[in-house]
Amino acid sequence: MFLSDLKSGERQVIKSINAGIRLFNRLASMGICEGTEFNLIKNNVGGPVIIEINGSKFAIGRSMAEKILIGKIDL
Amino acid sequence: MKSIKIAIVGNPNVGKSTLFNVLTDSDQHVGNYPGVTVERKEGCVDYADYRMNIVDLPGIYSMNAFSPEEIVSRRFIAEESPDIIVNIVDASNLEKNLYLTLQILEMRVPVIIFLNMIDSANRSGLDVSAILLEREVETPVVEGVARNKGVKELLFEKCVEVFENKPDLTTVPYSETVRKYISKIKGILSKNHSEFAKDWIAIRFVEGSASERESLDSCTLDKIDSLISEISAVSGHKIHSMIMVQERYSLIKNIIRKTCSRSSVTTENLSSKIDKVLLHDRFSLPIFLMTLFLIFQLVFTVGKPMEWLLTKIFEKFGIFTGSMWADGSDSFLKDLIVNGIIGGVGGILIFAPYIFLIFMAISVLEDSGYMSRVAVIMDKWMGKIGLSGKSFMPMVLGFGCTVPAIMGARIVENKYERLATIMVIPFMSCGARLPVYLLIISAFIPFKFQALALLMIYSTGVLFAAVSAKIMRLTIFKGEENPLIIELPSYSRPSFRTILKLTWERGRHFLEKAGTIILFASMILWFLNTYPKINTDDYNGLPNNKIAQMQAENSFAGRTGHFVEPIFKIFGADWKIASSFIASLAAKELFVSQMSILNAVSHNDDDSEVLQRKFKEDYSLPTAVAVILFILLSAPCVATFAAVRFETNSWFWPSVQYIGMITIAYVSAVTGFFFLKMFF
Repeated sequence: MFLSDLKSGERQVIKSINAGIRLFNRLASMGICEGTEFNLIKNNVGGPVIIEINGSKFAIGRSMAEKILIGKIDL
Repeated sequence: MKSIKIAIVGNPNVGKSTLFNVLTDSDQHVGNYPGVTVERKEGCVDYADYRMNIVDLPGIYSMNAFSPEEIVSRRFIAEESPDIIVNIVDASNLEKNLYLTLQILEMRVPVIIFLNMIDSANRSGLDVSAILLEREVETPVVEGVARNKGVKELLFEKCVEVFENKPDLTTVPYSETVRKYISKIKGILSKNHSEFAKDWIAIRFVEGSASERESLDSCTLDKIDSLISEISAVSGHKIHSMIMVQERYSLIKNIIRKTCSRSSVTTENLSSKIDKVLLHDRFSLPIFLMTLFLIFQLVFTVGKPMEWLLTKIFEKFGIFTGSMWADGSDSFLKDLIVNGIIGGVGGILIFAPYIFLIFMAISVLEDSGYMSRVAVIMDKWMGKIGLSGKSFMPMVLGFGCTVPAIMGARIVENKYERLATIMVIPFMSCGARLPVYLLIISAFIPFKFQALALLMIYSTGVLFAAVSAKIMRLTIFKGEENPLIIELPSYSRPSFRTILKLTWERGRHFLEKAGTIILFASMILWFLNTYPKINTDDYNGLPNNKIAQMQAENSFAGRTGHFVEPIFKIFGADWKIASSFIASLAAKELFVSQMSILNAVSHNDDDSEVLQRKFKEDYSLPTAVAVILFILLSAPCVATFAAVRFETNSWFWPSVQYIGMITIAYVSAVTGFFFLKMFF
């Protein structure tokens, strides 16, 4: 499932990011990378997806969110 | 006295500007919007026997040289080698902050970590031990709260200690694999580089952000690239930099495990509750548009009486200055000062209240934390024209004044998007164009439809901006895709002092412009309108304004107007309008002043109706619309040209913009004219 498809706020983890190296590095420097756990704050139709990581909120443009593969946290 | 060069580096919104203010005793703006400090700010303060030269670098997440901020910071550290870097980190979010810290440590510069906002971390149930952190990262750590007293002495003390003792620099303990590749790449690099530089460049290659590529020959690059694909193959990551990212975060996790402990879990905070409303699926856009509408309403309601007051002041000041000369004197100097300088500059300074008020409103939005939400709300719509939500605010600023709007476009990281934004901003109708619309609208449109007409003009500008942005993004500014990625800081109550400070800092540019470019242009325009002089004795008995009109027609400006008249005749304009168009190239509002002079109307409040009547007598409605379109869309003012030249660091883009806009304006004016001609 992709971040853009996530509808409700259960805690999730990022599985992989399908982006070029520049975007990949940029996300990584903000703490958004494979293995990052997050909470969904908002996912409005057509707009950026807002997530919360360690108390910081980030808005991620929809086209980017469509390339971030997410899943349930493996226990 | 020894001097120590200190650079403050850190993520956005961790209190960098506050720390800078505390250290330098200055009152610099504290941003609550990512990317407030784009240019570095410098301050100088004496402490004990040392002169501290402090540089506040822009807020960044990494040294990857992705955004202009990162490039500025990376270059500063590499080229101006500061003695000490104070890396400010937010104690409540070490995980994110330490990523940059590790990259800074790789740069082999003495670092002091300032663990900021330790109080709010503690309050949220997080305990961070500065002593343990210092041991873990082998770097001096100072903890505290930037805005509190004593921080300055504490930090300076540490700076002096580090400066004098020159402790060993830390090496980031990367794993065997990463170290192997780093040394392999170092082996390939030429002997020209120093050992430190090689280390640094090699790491940049492994993490995929080497800006040094151009300086290396293709043979070396090929070798490095094959090593890099080897990393991908060995690590099993599609993107080779993942190996570096993983390394860093596992180091960070390790550091956090040893230094932090969480005693309680925080519950949902106020900011999240506010966001539930302000970022609501359906209400976010109406709320924002309402806010925007209220801002414009407020700006014009408050600005109007201030404009009136300033007009009166300049009028009186002109009369007073003129009275220094004997009655009826036709001294060159008097005319230059009273009509050229006071008249010209004053005529533009009267718009200062609007510009300051708009900046004030923007500052409130920024300082409260709402501005980054605006980028989020508008991202969906901006995406349709090939831009991201970040371009929206600079474009709205364009309604106030184009110059700060173009400077504001710096917050857009992607080069192509930033260029496209800069290129279309002048289509957003700035405050200076308003007097022109008001003149023409009042002449042709019944009162009850005037606001609607004004709205249509502004919308036309927005439409042109949107369409040209889309076209440019599809053609010349294709570039890679650049989705919005932005941190949303917590909301905070804007501080009155900060707002005033920030408003002044930005508005100051307008006043500087008035003192330089506009002053200069006014003098030239005055000259062009005044010379060559007619012999007034030949026209004895004619009323004064009639003489002024003949004078104007005989002047260089008048003659030029006559000369270019044929170009504008196609949409029914005459030499007066042509000449006023030329005047408007310096600043748009000069169109009105020039029309007043050429129509022999003295430019007073009471006489504005005379000019309106005259306009209606002389021109048809289609011509009026064509003139509005031309003023709205044609070449930006001199100050804008200068700003674009500065921001793009090229003569090419401002020239393209200039010529392009004149062409678009002309074609639109002609098209509009013939279209309306069918009905009127």
